[in-house]
Amino acid sequence: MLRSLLVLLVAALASAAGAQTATLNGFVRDAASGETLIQASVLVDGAGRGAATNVQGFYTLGDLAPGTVTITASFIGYRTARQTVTLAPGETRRLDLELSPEGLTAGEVVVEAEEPIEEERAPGVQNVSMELIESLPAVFEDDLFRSIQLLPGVKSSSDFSSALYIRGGSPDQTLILLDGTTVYNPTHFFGFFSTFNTEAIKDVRLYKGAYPSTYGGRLGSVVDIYNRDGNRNETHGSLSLGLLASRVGVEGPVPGVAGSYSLNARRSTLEPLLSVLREQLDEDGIPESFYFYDVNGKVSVDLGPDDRLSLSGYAGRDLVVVPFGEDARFDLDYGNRTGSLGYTRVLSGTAFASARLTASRYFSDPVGRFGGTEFRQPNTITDYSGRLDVEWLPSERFELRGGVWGGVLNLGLQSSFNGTVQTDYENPSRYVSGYVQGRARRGGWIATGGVRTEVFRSLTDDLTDTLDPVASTYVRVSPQAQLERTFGEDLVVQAAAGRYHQFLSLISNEAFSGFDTWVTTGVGVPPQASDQVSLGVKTKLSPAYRLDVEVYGRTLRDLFDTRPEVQDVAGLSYRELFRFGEGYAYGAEVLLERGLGRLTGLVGYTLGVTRRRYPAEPEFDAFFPPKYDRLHDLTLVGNYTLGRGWKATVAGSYATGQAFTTPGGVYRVDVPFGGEPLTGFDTDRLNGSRLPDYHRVDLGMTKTGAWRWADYELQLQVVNVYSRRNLWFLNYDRGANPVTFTEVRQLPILPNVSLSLDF
Amino acid sequence: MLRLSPAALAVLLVAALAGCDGQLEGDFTPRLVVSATLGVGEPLPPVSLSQTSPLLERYDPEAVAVRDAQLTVTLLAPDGSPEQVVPYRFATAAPVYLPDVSPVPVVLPGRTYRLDVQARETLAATTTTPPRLELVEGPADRVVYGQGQGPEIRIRQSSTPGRQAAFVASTEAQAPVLFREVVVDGETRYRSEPDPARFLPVPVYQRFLGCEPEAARTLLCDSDPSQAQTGTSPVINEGSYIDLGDGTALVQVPFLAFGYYGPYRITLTSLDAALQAFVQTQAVQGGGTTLSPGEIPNVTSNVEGGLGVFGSYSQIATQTTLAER
Repeated sequence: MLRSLLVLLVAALASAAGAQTATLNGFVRDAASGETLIQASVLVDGAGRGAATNVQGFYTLGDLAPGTVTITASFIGYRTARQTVTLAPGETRRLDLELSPEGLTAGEVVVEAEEPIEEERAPGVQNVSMELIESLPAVFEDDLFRSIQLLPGVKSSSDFSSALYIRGGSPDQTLILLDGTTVYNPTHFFGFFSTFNTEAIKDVRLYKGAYPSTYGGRLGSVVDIYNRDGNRNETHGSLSLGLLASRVGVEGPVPGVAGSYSLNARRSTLEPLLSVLREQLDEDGIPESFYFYDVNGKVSVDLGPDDRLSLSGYAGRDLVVVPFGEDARFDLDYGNRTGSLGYTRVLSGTAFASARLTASRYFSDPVGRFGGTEFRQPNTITDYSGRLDVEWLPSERFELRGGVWGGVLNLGLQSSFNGTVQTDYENPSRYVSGYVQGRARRGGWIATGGVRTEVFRSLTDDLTDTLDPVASTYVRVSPQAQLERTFGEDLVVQAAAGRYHQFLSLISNEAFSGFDTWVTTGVGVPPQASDQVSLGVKTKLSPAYRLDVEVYGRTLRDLFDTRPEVQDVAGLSYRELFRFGEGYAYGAEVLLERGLGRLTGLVGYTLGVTRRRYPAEPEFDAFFPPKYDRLHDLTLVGNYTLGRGWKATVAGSYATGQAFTTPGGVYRVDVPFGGEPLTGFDTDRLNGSRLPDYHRVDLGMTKTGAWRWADYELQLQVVNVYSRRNLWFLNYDRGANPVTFTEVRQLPILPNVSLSLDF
Repeated sequence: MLRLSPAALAVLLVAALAGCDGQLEGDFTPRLVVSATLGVGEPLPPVSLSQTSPLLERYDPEAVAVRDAQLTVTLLAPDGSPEQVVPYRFATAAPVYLPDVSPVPVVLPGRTYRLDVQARETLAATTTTPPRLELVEGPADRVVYGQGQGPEIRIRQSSTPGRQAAFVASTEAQAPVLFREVVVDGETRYRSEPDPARFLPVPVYQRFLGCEPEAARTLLCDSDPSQAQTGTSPVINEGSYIDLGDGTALVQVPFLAFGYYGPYRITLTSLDAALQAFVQTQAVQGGGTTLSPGEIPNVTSNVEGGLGVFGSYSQIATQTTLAER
C-alpha cells in the first residue's frame, strides 16, 4: 500500500508542476445570513472537478484549464447556485459564492439529496445534520450527543447518559472540539445532557474511527463542533421555552466592520418544580439549589478579503446543593470554560492558513459535610494551546496539509477529609505534536497518507507529595493512510488504517459524571495505543437513497484507569494507582438514508463486539465485554412532512441487552472488625450475562409557521411512547438474608413541549 | 438462487431478536470457602470451611459448613520449610475447625503461616502476619463531638518489607440507647426506650435514620438505629496518618465514624496483604466505584482452589467518651 501511495504522490506532484493553469477560490456563504458553509460542494461543470469547503467555508480549485467554466455550488438545504467565469492562463480568481436557503413551499418541504461530497464520504466520517438533531424527540432538551447516539457505531450506556461510546471505545477516547478547543467534560446534569446548545451550533462532524492525521491525541474518534458565526446582514433574536430549560439568542452584523457576532445562552428552569417539591414533601435529598447554564459567544471580523479574525467563548456550569437536615449537606459545582482566538488567511491562490490560540478549563468541586466531618475533592484541568494549520491545494491531483499543535496542560487534584489534606496533586504537562498529510488523486483513485508525531511530557509523583516528582517524556508516531476507489458518481470503496495514541485517561463513573477526573501518562504509565482498520462501501442507490456499509476493527493497548479496589491513595506511587488493560473491538455498520421527498430519515444497524481485560488484575485477567458492549444495535429515524407546517418524527431503537455480572453463589467470611461477617459473591464470569434487550420508540410533532413578528416552532414530543422500562442494572442487597436485588430501570414515558421563536 | 420475501425477512428478524433475550439468573456451582484470620499475639483461631450458597436462598451457616475435611495450619521457617504443624479438628457445635493441640500456639508477628485443606478439593493458602501494632497513647477520656477532627490515637510506626501498612479503624458504641420495633400507621418503626444511662444517636445520624424527637428524649425512627452502633472505615494506608517524626504516627478517627454519643470502644486493625486485598475487593462488589453498575468482579482470594481468606492482623483497642457540645 505504501508503494502505491508513493507512486500516486509522485504522479500528482509531477502533474502539479504543469504550467499556465488557473486557480479559483473563495468562500461559500448562506445568502441570507452571510454565514460561511462548511463542506459545501463546489463543482466545475463538465470537468469532473470539484472541491469541498473547509471548516472556514473556503474552497480552492487549482490547476484549472484556462477558458470559460461554469461553477456549481451546492449544500444540503440550499438552492444550488451556478456561476460562469472566464479564466486566463495563470490567473487566480477569487469567486465567493452565496447559496439561498430552501424556502418553505406550500405544504411541502423538499430536501434535495446532494452529490456525494468527498470529505463527507471519507471512511468513518458522518456529518451530523442540525435539522436531524432539532427534529428528534428529546428528553426535555434537544441534545447533540443523544442524536449522535442514533448513528451506527455509536452507543450509549443508558437513557441517563449522553456519553458517546464509539466503535468499542469509552467516552474519553473521543476528542471533542468546540471551535478547535478541547472540551474535557461535555455534560450537564452529571451526564444526562451534552453541554452544547444546539441553537449555537453551525456544523458537527463525527469521525468514528481511523481519523485523519489532522487530528490527534485520542485513541478512537473525533467530534468536531463549530459554533455559528452569526448573521452578517441583519440582527435576529431567538427565544425557546422548554420544560427543563429555556434559551435565548441574538446575532447580527458587527457595526462598522465586515463581520458578525452571535450570543446564545441557556439556563435550566427547575427552580419552580424544586420549590413545589420542597413544600409538598418533607424529604431529604431534594436540592436546595439545582441548575445549569451555558453561554456561547462568537465574534468574527474580516480584516481584509484574505484575512479573518474570530473570537469565541463558552462557559457552562452545573451546581447542586442538597441539604440533609441541619448538619449535613452535599454541594457539587462543576463546569467548563473555553476560549478561542482564531486567525485565518488566504496565503495564495492555493494555500490557506489557520492559526488558533485556545484555552480550556474544567473544574469540579464536590464538598460533603456530615456532622463534624467534611470531605472535599476539587479537580481542575487547565489547557492552554496554540496551533497552526496550513493547507496547500495546488491541483486536483494533490493536496498537502500540515500543522503543529502545542500546549500546556495542568491537572490539579486535591482531596481533604476531616480537615486533613490527603491529596494535593499538581501535574504540569507540556505537549507538542506535528503532522503532515498528503492526498493524491489519479483516475478513480484517491490516496491519503499522513503521520502525526506527538511528544508529551508530564511531571508526576504520588498523590501526597511524599515522593519527589519525576518527569516522564513519551514520544509517539501515529501514521494514518486511506485509499479510495470511486466507480462513477455513485459508488466508492474505501479502506483506512491508522495508529493512534492517547496521553490522558478519564476516571469516571458512567452513572454520574460530576466526579470526572482526568489523569495523564507518567512514570510507569505509558500512553494508550490503538491500531484501527476499516473498509467501507458507500453508494447512492437512487436520487433519494444512500447506503453506507463499513466494517472496522481495532486493538487497544496500554489502557490505564484507576484500580477500583484502592480505597486510599496515600503513599502509593503514581503507577500503583492504575491498572493496565488491553482489548479489541470489531464490527460492521450499515446506514441507509433517505434524503428526498416527504419522508426522510435513516435506518442504522451495527453489529459490534468489544472486549477488554487487565492481565495483571486477577479478577479482570480474562477478556470480558464492558457493559456498553452490544452485539446488535438498530435505530430508525423517520421524518414525514404532513403539510401546513406540520411534520411528524419517529425515532426507534433496538439493542441487545447490556452485559452484566450474575453472581452464582454467596458466602460469608468473618473479619476481626466491624462485628459483622463480610458477604461475598462468587462471580464466575465477569459481565457474562445479558440484560433483556433494549427497545424504545419516541414520537414527535413539529408545527412551524410565522406570526407577523416572529417565526415559531412548536414541538410536542413523547419519549418512550409505550413506556418500556428497560433494565439498567440489578442492585443487590448483600446485607439481606437471603440476598435480594432491585431492578433499576431506565426512563419511563416522558412528554415534552417546547416553543421556539425567531424574530 | 434463494429469494426471501420481505415478510419472511421480517419473521427471521423477529426470531433473531427474540433469541437475544437477557439472562437474569446465574449458574450455581458450589465452591469451597475458607474463613480464618490470625491475630498477632492471640492463639491460632478457628478455621471455618464452608461452601457457597445459591444467591437468592437463605444463607444458613449450619447448612453450608463442610465437615469432613482434613485441616492443618503450619508455621513456616524463613526458608519455607515447616517449623510447626498444627492439626485441626471439626467442632460440630460451632461449626468450625479448632486447633487440635494444647496449648494452642500463639500467632507470631512477621511470620508466614500456611493453611492446607483436604476436602473434596485441595485448598492451600499462606499469610504473612503484620508487625505487632503498638499503642503509644489513646484518645482523651472525653471528646466533645464536632470539636477538632475526632479522637486521636498515637501508634508506633512499623515497617513491612515490600508493602505499606494498611489499617481499618472501627468503632463500637458501648451504651447506645435501645430501640424497639413498633408499628405506626401500619409501618414498622423504631422507638427509643428512655434510659438516662444510655445515649442517643448524634444529630446527623438521627437525620439519616429518619428519627423524629418525641417526648422526654425519646426518638421515633424510620430505619433501624442499631446499624449505627458500629462504624468501620475503609482500608487506610499508613501514608494517610500524621507522621509525628519521633517514630510514632497520629491517627484521627473522624466523627463520621460515631453514630451515638457516650462511651466508645475504638479498634485499630493492621491487615496483612491477603486480608487487605479481600476487604478492598469485597467492597468493590458493593458498587460505587468507577466500574459500571452491574459489573461485579470476584473478590480477590489467597485461597488456592477456593474462595474466602486465610489472613492475619494485629489489633489494638482503646476507649473514649463522646460528649455533646
